[in-house]
This record gives sequence, structure tokens and C-alpha cells, in this order.
Amino acid sequence: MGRFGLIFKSIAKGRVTEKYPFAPIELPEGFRGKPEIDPEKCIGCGACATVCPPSAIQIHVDEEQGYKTIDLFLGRCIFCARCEEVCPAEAIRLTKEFELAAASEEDLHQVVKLKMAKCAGCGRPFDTVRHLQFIAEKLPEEQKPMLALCPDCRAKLASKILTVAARRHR
Amino acid sequence: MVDKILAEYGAVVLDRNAKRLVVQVDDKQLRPLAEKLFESGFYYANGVGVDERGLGHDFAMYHVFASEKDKLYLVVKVSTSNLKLPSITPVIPGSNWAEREAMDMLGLEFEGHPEPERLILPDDWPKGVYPLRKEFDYNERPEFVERKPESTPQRTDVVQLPLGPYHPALHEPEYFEIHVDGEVITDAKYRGFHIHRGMEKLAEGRLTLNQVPFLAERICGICGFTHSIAYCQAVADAAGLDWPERAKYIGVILLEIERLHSHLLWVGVVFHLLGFDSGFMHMWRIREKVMDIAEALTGNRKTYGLVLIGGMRRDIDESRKNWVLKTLTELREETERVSKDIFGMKELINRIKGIGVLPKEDARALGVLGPVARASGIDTDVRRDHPYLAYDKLDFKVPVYPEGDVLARLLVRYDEIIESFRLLEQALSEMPQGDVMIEDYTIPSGRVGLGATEAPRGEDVHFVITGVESKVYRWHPRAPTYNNLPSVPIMLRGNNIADAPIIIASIDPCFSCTDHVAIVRKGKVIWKGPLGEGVKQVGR
Amino acid sequence: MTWVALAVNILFVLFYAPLMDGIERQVRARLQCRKGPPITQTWWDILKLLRRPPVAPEKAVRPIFNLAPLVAFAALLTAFILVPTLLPHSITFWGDLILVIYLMNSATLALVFGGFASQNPYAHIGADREVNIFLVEELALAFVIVTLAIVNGSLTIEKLFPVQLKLSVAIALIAFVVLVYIASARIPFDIPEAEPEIVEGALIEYSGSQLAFAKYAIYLKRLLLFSLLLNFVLPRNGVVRPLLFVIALPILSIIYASIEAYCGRYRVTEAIRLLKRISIVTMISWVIAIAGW
Repeated sequence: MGRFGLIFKSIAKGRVTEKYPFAPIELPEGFRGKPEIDPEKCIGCGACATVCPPSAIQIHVDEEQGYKTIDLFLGRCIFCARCEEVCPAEAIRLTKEFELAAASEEDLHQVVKLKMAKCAGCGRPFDTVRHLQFIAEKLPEEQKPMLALCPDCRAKLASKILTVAARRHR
Repeated sequence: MVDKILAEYGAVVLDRNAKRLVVQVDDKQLRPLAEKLFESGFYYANGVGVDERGLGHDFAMYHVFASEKDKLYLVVKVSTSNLKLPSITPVIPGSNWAEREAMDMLGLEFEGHPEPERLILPDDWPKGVYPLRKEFDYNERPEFVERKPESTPQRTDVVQLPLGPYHPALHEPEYFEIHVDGEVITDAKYRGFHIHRGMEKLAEGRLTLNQVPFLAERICGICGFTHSIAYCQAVADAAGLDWPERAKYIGVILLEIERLHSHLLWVGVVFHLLGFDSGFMHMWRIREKVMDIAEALTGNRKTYGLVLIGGMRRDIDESRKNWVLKTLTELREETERVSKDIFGMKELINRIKGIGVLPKEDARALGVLGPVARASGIDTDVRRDHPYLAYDKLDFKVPVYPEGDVLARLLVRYDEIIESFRLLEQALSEMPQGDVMIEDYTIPSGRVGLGATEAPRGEDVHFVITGVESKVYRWHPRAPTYNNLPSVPIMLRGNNIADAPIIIASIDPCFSCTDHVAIVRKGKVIWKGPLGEGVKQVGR
Repeated sequence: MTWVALAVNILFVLFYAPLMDGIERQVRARLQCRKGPPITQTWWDILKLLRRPPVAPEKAVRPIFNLAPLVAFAALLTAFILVPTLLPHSITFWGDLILVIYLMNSATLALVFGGFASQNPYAHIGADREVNIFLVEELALAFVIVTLAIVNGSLTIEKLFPVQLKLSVAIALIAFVVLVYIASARIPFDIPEAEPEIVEGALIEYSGSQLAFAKYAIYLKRLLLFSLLLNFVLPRNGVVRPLLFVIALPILSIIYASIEAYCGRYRVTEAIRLLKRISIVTMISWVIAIAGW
């Protein structure tokens, strides 16, 4: 048949190209598009920033103001969905949105600002309030007071308790 | 037989399993051993220089040899304390670029190398700064020295036709200088390594083991997934991990989908280069459905991003399986119908018949891989010779054509498309139930791992040394175009200028893959002098 | 009255030539299962290019390079004064057919010279191929015209049409249909412009308004060839002529574009071999014409 066969087939097949971008296109379930952080749910644990291969998610701590910011920069994102996979609070989800052109670089940043708790011992802001609350739900009652302390003070307190216990024991 | 050869040259076995063998030899024994291995059917698969000071050793060079006959990858390690090593390029030409890469990146010296010049670092890179040494930070920027561009002499007897660095037939920046007499190509020069992305350094310096697969996938814009699989296989090999069966089948499915879309893309591009745009459109119409399948299964058209060291991140939805199988059957019929018509267009087929011939002997000497090798009569396929994932449980044919011309390369790839459909149908219906990921594993440090996959363009070989704190100590991927590119000037010689783009395209070149470790040396002709000598240098 | 008719003709071809390309693009798109651009797309392209400033390469021989597209455009537009299109009016004088062919060829040659003047190696190869094909094509065309001239005893377009149907004329006409296809540089004969090989050939360095005129000239040439072909078969006078003309042009476009969509490009040697065969056919028609059939 050669080329005539092809011509007939093409006419029979009709047009297969889409009218996109003038008409929307269909995307399957599970499509990995633009990630979105739900600022209500985010606890600021930083797990997403740790796994993110291109470091599109970065954590900044402002100790003076007592804020932690989670900065998602879409210009670096590779849409791998690792963040979605590791998020303990299910705060970050990949949407079906993929048209990301923006007029300025700022528009590609998504920033979540979370208040940090101050250490009851030294007064230094050390972790987000929400993260502490998240952990508190999972901790046994007697260990909860420890959460008010920063890791340094916690270590000091723990060693103090241990020394006291050791003395008593002696 | 290999053991006998190794014993003869006093090689010490460091590590072995069914698929690969790591040995160390004294540097004096290296060249005779390499010669012997080449004679007994091994080809050069990968060469990696490693700064092992962080592991408590010296600098080392790992030469990876492969043999289809012995179904074995042989890693030969040689250490040096004074940075000097014997070159094996005089006995195995395929190691030319690998050794020069180690010279540039690590400052190793190879005694007896026929062409000890910079290959990948640019002219303005300062002397004595070696980017892959451990003291060099991944984000360091050295002071660049002044560059003196080398002027290439203008010839008056022939027209020097630049093909690239930007040319519509080359979809990536690469440069071929073609000398034409009328319409006939008399000579061709290739200058490469324009696209350096510093991937190895980035992986070593900044990424964790489970982040590297996403970087590896970006080595290639078409067949990236096979790179991430090869990397994960290499780490799994180093740590002795065995993936769950279901993960292996999913791997096969995704790799074959990738091969399908890559080959369909290539066949389309061939028709486009022949001026037959309708053929291009038909092939890409079919390919688009393959992309839809990939998107439905993985969430993305091209960068599947599904693989981690422990296995697959997503399972294949059983409810989608039937839809995929049905679509694949339709696509196979459609491909067969359309191809039958296109192959029936005599003048189109005659255009690619007998052009760009690569004889079998040249192909073997240059270590040509994949469909290009199979179109020159070399029976090689990693999937069959060094089975990985679930390929040993599946039935497929390896097409081999002896002609060595562009038509043979088209036919090999067409047959592979059909085989891929068969493989996909088998893998989807035979896929066992179970987990797709192993979660609890530890990666020991300082272990050597090797992962090889059959990418659509040929064999990918990834070499990994594991490090501490879940990092890679050294990662060196080798893409097939690295081996296939040197054969292009042989194919071009004596052909018509009208056929140059199609001949270059016939190896399905992937320049970015080749160059992932390379920086352009501007103004540098890799082959000096007439083509014959260039081929001799690289090929003999 | 003639002048008004001529103005109508010129305006018609100026308007229709890019539109014809738009129609052909749409035809090809349909045959390739694509939606394709709207038929006005070529017009938009030309209007866009006309607004852009041209850029010339440093080494180019400026006067020739800059003038070539305009010369080509002007030559073809002049040809439309001599060839009747929508309306049967035209300026006629003895030997005007030769002038038409001459003008058409000077347009081709202008672009060839422009290509050489750009000093680009791809343009050189493109121009070289163009000349190669042009020389053989010319031979065949000459025999077609001579055949017609012998049969009708004239070289004036007005006296030529409609042709008397004789064996020699029939052969020449068939050869002419093929020559129209080849001369309009369609695949597989677009060798001088082969995009994947030599990147538009002679046109490679043109940009902006110069490119617009060069492209416009190419579209005009295609329309001119179609008009010549239609003059052979359409009635010379009467009200049906404009109507038939307007209907026949898209039909020709559809036929030619369909063939174009399902061919691969020839190598220049293959094209020349084919052209030589056509030349022999036309030569035979000429011999037959002399014999009086």
C-alpha cells in the first residue's frame, strides 16, 4: 500500500493533537505537579527539606524574631514528590497544576512562617510550637515537661537528673 | 577461564558475586593483563579514577571490562602512591577517553598514553586544580586563567562545513566539522564535551544515597530512568541488597516503556531528517500514547522518579493494568500497520540503504554498543548477557543485522520496539504480588558496586563506591554515546553531505549523557590531522 | 479598463499567495492527524516579519544580499502583469511568455545570488543545489514552451490559450504539471532548502523584512506556476473564469500538498536524474510537435 495506505489511515484517524493551551488537557490521577504546602497543617519539622534532592525546600531560622520559615522555591523543584512522601503532617501535597510561568522570581516562592517556642531554660527559640505540640501528642505524660527545653538544656537537665539519681543510688 | 588469566597475572580477588568480580593487580601487570583480556573477548566498559585517600588508601584507577561470553563484569583496580600509572590505551583503545578523564579530573598520569592531552577541562581552567579530588569543594570556583584560543587552519581545497554547535539536526550543542568536496564528505572532525554539569561532584559532595537517583535520572533527557536504575543497581550490588520481585517487574515495565518512547522518538526523527514529516507525525502520535501510559503509571511523562535504593516508590495500580495492556495491544497493531506502509515507500528506504556503513571490525575496536553494534553484526545485549531486574525470567529476542548501514540501525530499533511490546505484555501479566520496596537495610561504607542496564542507546555502566553517612564516595556513570560517538567519523567518510544529519542521528546520539562529566576544551580538535589517523589513534 | 483589471489581478495575487501557503499547511496538517495552524497563519507570519528589522552577517556582500529578496519579489510581481490570473486581462506583446519565464528565473537567481552573498557555507551549498536543479529544470521547461510555440505558432500568451489538444501538447502538459511541482520546491524537491541538512539553504542568513520578502517571493512563484497551469485549461473569457479560477486554485493546492506530505526528500543527484528523464520526455514532445501531431 505504501504512502496511499498511510494517507487513508491518517484521514480515518482524524486529528489527534490537542487544542492546548486554548483548551485544558486531561491529567491522570497521581500526576506530580506543583507542590503546595498547607500552612495550616505544616508543623515545620523540616523532613521535606532534608530529603529534597535539589534543595528546593529550605529552612531558615530567625532567632531574634523567633520564627522559622519553610521556603519552597518552585524554580528548583523537580516534582519528585519525596516531600509528600515523608511529611508526617500530610501538609505538603503535589497538585495537578503544571503551568508555572511567573512574572518574577518571588512568585515562585511559597513561604510558611511558623512561630518558635522559647526554651524554658535559656530562653533561646529552638523549635516550632506546632512541632512540639505534634510530638507532645505522642509522648507519655511524664516526659512532656522535657519538651519545653531546647536540646542543649535538655541534655544538661538529663545529665543532672542522672547525677542526682546516681548519688542517691550511692 | 577468567580465573586462570587472573591467577597468571597475580590478581588478588577483592570481592566477587555471580555477575561481577573485583580484583586488584600490581601496576606492572596491568597492561599485559588488559591485553590478554581484550584478546579473550572482553571489551572496555568503564574507567574510573578514584581519590581513595578518604578511605585510607592512595589514588586508584578502576578499569571495568565486560564480556558477553563469560557473562561477567570484571573490575580491575590498580593503586598508585605517586599518581603514576601505566596506560592501557595502546592495548585497548576504548580506554582512551576514560584515562584522559582521570588525568583531567584527578591529576593521574598515564605513562605511555598516546595522546596525553586535556579532554574535558577547558583551556581557561588553571593547571594543577583537579575537581574530583576530595579537597576540592563541590561549589568551589577556581580563578580562571587567560585562554588562548587555538586557531584551526583554514583549508582552501575543501569547503569546511560546520555542523553545530547549534544545528537543527543536532538537538544538543555538539560540533562536527565536515569537509566537503562538492556534495561528498571527505573528512570529518568531532569536537565534543560542551555540556558539563558536574554531576559526579555534586553527588559526592552534596547529595545523599537516596537523592542521587533523581540526579542520575537527569543525565539523559530521553532515557534517564535507565540511569537511575543502573545507579540503584550499583548501590544494591555494593550493599548486597535484593529487591522484592514485584519491584523488579515494575522496573522492567518502566524501562521498556522508556525504550519504546525513545525508539519511537528516534524513528520519527529519522523520517523528519529524510524530509518525510508525515512519518514523523505518525510515530510521535503513537509515542504520545506511550507517554500517556508512563504518565498514568508514574505521575510524569518522562522523569518517572520512581526508584530508590530499596526499590520502587509506587506500585502499579492493578485497576490500571488492564487499561495499559489494552492500550499496548492497540499501539503494537498501530505501529505494525504504520511501519508496514512506511517500509513500503521504496524511495524512502533506498535513501538510507547502504549509507553510513560501520564495519564489524571497526565497531568492535571502538567498543560500540547497543543498536549500533547490533546493526553491525555484534550480538550484544546487557539484558540477556548480564541479566538484571526480572529480565532473566522474560522471553525476548535480540535482533542482529550484519549490514551496518543506517537501514540496519532502523530495522534493529524497529524490531526492538516490537520486542518491547512483547516484554511489556509478559511483565504486566506475569507480575507477582508483594512489596515493592525494602525499607530496612544498611549500606556498608567503602564497598564497590557496579550496575549495568541496556539503555535504548546501548549499555549504561554505573560504578559506585559507598561512603559514610549515607553518601556516595564515588559515582561514575558511563552513557552509551560515550562509546558510540567515535564511530561517527568512520560512518560519515565518503558519504553525501545530504546524508550527514541522518548518519549522525543514526547512532541516536545523546551528547549530554556523554558530557555529564565533561567541560569543553574550546578550540581544541580532539582528532588532529586527517580522519584516517584520528581513527587510528582512537580506534586501533 | 485593462489597468483596473490588472490592479485587481495584482491585489488578488498579493492577497492570495500567502493564503495559499496557509491552505497547504492546513492540508498537510490534516494528513498528519494534526489540528494545524489556521489558514491565515502565513499571513500573520509575514506581517510579523515585516515589522522586524533585518540583520545581515558581517562578511556579507551587503548590496547584493540586501537587494536580492526585493528583486525576487519585484520580478515575480511584474510577471503577474503578463500572466492573466483572476481576470483574463494582461499586457500582451510578442514573446511575452519568454519574458515571464525570464522573470521567474531571475527571481530564483536573485535568491541564489543573495545566498552566495551571505557568505554562509550552508547558503553556499543551498545556492549550489538550487543552481544545479535550476539548470536541468530550465531545459525541460524550454522544451515545453517550444512545443507549445510550435503547435500554436506563437510565443504570446494570449494566442497560446486555450491550447489545441494534440499529442505533443498533451505530453508537454503532463511534463509541465510535474515541472510546476518541482519548480515550486516542494518535497522531495525542496533540496535547496532542506531544513534538517542545510537549514533553509540560501535563506539561512535572512531575517526580518528581508526574509518576509524572500518568503513572499517563493509563495508568489508557486502561485505564478499554478496560474500558468490553469491558463492552459480554463476558458479565456466569460464570467465563469474568475469563479473557476478561485475554485481551481485550492484544488491544485490540495493535490500538490497531499503529494508533498507523503514524500521523503531526494538527494540532489536523484532529483537531477529524474529531471533529466523529464527533459527527455519534453524533448520527445517537441519532436512530435515538429512532426505536426
